[in-house]
Amino acid sequence: MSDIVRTEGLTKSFKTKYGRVDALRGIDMNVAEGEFVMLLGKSGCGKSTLLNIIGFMDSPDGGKYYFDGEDVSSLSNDGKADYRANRLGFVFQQFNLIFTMTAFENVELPLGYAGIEKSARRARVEQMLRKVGIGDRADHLPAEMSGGEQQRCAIARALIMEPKLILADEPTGNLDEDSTEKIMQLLKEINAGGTAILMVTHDTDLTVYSDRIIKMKAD
Amino acid sequence: MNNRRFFFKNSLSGIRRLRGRYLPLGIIVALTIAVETAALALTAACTALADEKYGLIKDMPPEKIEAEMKLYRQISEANAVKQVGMYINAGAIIIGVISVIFISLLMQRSRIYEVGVYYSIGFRRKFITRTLLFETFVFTAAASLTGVILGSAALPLLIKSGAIIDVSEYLYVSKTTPLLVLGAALLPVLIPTLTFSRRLSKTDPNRLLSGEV
Ligand SMILES: Nc1ncnc2c1ncn2[C@@H]1O[C@H](COP(=O)(O)OP(=O)(O)OP(=O)(O)O)[C@@H](O)[C@H]1O
Ligand SMILES: [Mg+2]
Repeated sequence: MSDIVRTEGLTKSFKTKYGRVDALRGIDMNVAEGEFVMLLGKSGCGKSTLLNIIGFMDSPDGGKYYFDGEDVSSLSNDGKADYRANRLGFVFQQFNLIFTMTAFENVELPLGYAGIEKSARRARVEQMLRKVGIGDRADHLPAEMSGGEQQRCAIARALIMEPKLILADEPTGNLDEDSTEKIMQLLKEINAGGTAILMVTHDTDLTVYSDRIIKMKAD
Repeated sequence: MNNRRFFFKNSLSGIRRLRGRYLPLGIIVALTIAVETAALALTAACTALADEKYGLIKDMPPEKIEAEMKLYRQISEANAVKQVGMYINAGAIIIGVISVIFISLLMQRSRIYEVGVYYSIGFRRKFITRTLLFETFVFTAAASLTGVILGSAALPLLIKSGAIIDVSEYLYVSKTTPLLVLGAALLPVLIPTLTFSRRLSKTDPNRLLSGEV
């Protein structure tokens, strides 16, 4: 099967007040289409940095990045934005919902931006909210939902454009055991539908949900 | 891109969603603009009155002017009101410009997290800054327009009440004042928006989301 994500010798360093920090030194990795991969490693080893580059939130300093077979190592800002909008979904530890919008409005945003017409938007959002299990929370603001429900809403937003890849940076990091399990089951379901998932976690108990794990070392 | 309607809807939704924060700011802008409009119109009318009366006595023989003391008094009163009006004007313009700049800066800064969210779900930078610009622009225009209407309505009432010199016949000279004031109120919106969008294009989106900007 072909790779949705492949990197070759990816490097990234940050300039700080105290000097240069090499966050990534030549990363070779891949995620096959439809695969569920977990990324593990000690704090500070560069997991989020790698995920941000794969998610077009940041650019590598060197190396190659192929998305769905295309070389995307040096896209323009607009090019990267379009990939974020249409080709992948990002799920964060902090949910990153807009506080003043309801669950429905949050999930509707990417569709509106894509220029999809109102009745089609409504149908798709309602269906998606039901799919992630918060169909009865459509009119709730994030503050009126539990952490688990907020993360479901964020997952719905990440899925609404039907991307082939979901990136998740410690999606259960802010949740209790019960919600963690439910979110993992939801991710597993989404994965069973054919969406590849690359997830960062600290929790080795969660690796049972994955097809494969990648261990990163801070060298 | 086929999302122009979404652009307008989403920009205006910002005002609706943040009305609690926008309302007090809108009242400040509207009141400042109202004072500015009234003071500008008043000074212009006083100038017109003084000029006209002065034209009447300019070529009169001295003995006739003696009999026209009333004209003298009107001119000097108009000049005095004009003086005060100019000070109010200068003050209102300074307060107006500063508050509009301050407000747009505040509105945009408080949206940094939201900008980070828009960014992370793939909105282009230009789309985001245009959204904020349009939102601030619509808000400032609505508040200023309210102020201009208030100020234009208040001046005749003030004159009727006898509190200030009667220049009602000369108010026609200041017909364009509202347009001037509106323009002056909208222009300062651009400054913070432009600096904000420049900052945005240089900032790491993860820092937008964590609010460390
Ligand atoms: N914007 C930045 N500026 C400077 N240094 C950074 C920046 N982002 C990351 N780093 C540094 O790069 C290294 C890798 O950071 P990263 O956030 O990718 O680690 P991580 O594996 O996700 O850690 P954690 O498990 O704690 O989330 C760290 O040393 C970090 O301090
Ligand atoms: Mg991290």
